[in-house]
Amino acid sequence: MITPALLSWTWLSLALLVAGLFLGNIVLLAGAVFLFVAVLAAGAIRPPEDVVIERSLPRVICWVGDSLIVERRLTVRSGVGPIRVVDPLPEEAAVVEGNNFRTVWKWPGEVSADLSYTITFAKRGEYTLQETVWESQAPLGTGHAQSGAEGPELNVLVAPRTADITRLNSVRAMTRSTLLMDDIAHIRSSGEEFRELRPYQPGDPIKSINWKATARNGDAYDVPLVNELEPEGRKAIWIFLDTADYMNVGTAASSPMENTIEAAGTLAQYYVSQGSTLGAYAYNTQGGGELLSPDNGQKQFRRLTQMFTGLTPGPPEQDLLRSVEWCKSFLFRLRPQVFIITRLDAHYPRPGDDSEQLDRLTTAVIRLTALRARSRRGGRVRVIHVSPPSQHESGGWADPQSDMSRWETQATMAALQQAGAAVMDWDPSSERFITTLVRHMDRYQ
Amino acid sequence: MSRIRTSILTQLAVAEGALVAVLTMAALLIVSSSARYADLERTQWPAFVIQLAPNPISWAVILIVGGAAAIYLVLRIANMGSFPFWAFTALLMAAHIPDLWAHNRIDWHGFFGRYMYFSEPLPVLASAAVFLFTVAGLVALRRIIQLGAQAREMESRGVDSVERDAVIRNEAVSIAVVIVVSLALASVMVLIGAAVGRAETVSGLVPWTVTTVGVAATLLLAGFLLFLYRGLSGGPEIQTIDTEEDSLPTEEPESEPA
Repeated sequence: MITPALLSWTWLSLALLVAGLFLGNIVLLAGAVFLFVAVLAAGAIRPPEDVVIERSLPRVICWVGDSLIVERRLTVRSGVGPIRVVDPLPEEAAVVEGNNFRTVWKWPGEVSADLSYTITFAKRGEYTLQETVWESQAPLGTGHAQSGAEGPELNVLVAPRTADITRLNSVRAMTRSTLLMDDIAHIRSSGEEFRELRPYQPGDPIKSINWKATARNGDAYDVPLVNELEPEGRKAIWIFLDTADYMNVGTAASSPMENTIEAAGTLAQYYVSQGSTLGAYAYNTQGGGELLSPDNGQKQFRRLTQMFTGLTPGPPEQDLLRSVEWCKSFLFRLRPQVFIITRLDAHYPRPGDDSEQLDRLTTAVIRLTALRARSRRGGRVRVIHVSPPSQHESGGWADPQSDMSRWETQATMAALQQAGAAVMDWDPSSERFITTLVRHMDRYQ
Repeated sequence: MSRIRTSILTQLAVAEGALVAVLTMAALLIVSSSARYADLERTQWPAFVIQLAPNPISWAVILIVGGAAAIYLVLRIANMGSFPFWAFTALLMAAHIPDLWAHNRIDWHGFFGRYMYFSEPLPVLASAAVFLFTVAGLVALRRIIQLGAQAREMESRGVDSVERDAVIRNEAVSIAVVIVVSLALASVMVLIGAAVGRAETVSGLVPWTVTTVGVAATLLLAGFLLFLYRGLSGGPEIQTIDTEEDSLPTEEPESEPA
């Protein structure tokens, strides 16, 4: 490659040579000789080549916000000069330690360098880390340059992070049902089947203390150990997630879409840990809807996480009523407690909008509530409203758009409450989901 | 006592400023040396140059050196690309012309009955040494400017300062090696040419020194053109290696979320 620097020195040396020969001037010729030798010497040096880049990830699945070390080792066998190495990263990835752009100098002989760095992902999804791009240049910047792409492509599955459910585990006496149908509590009706040993918590009955196990493990725990029994009967939970494109506003890291997934993941984690059967349906996704057939256990939670990872917002063509129809066979069989996570202000009828969105939403809630009435088993239908981020910093002044959105939300909430649903209003910018959930449970105790 | 560490950018800026000052000083000395012996009746030297010439190390010299360096630095800070460098190069070359002119062996102007000597020549080896030093200084100056830009780019991309400094220092060492080797080869060639010129074995009419060095330079030019041609026709080599077939991750997360 001919660089501008090389060309400029070429012209200067040619000018000196021609002038020296024309005038018979030894000094000019000496200058020309010097420049020719310098450029030839610089050009004779090969840039670093025979590049090998080994790259690996310790994990291919991680959570949003987890630190992930990209182990990268560079080996260069020949040439002299600087070599630059850069890993193109997805927009959602950020380098938290080290650098994905590195420069290494190579003298004659083989050189190896550890160029690892740490990244974190701000958003769930499936990502591909492209091959490492390298570029080397001969010293003096006058001539040869080489470039290429090396190292394997790496796929990473970034799962949505769920909230810490410890606070939910400590919520006591939230139930009015002894059959574990409508509760979030750790005092519940227990069966006879042994599940595990765990440390004593305030509220546990004295008779549940396992004195023998406590004596054996007395050194390890400050409190007695109690027998945890499998709950009598298993609760069924169904989560409807609205993934329409109106949910996909805000930043990549924090949008109603991502917050919906966080809320659904938190609920799922809690109920799965309680042994509940879990099913879910994401409607308005790209290409229709995505169903997670009901099941229980940690495998079900992993399946749910995998489903969440690939969710892409789509046009709002499939509303909740259609989704209920689609899932009715499961709903009739399980009679589950239903959670609906959406943005309520998006369902308020606007002037000129004849889609009857609110009516259809209300009808869907009525049908779900009817399941409970008919079976005397089903739990309360809970609608979780995920507030969109405020579009304007009001700075103390009233924000008309935000006020309008709040008013629409309140009107939709009232309609749903009339239809028999319990509505939770979650503003992710002001508090965590778990706080809203605990407050809501307190209210409905 | 803590050791004061200056950044590589500061070091490069200092080196650039010092080199500009030294090259300006060398140019001024060669102008003074030429003007001191100038035949004022037959040349058109501006009067202020003559006034400055007799005493090269004076306040005026320092002022001019400082002025030239200051103008150069102002233009560099104004980020005018490579213009300041080439303007400075042109000025240095212009300053060397009177001395270089005195070493012409072929008096083309003599054919037209004109007598055009600006100065009594310095000894040829002294002139060659100063001129080679100037050209080598310009090569180094150009590279220092490029290294500064390279260091700033690395800094903006978050490259670790130790890594960046190591690369810049190694680049500086490599340019120094190339300049020393080139100076040595050019000096050897000039000395051989001068020795051949003194032999007077064939004819006094043939400027053997010029012929020897000229032929060598032409041979170098041929090699240089070959190198250019290969560079132009070859272009940068792009190496790619096929990656393994993509596979979906199957591993489980190592830890559950808290």
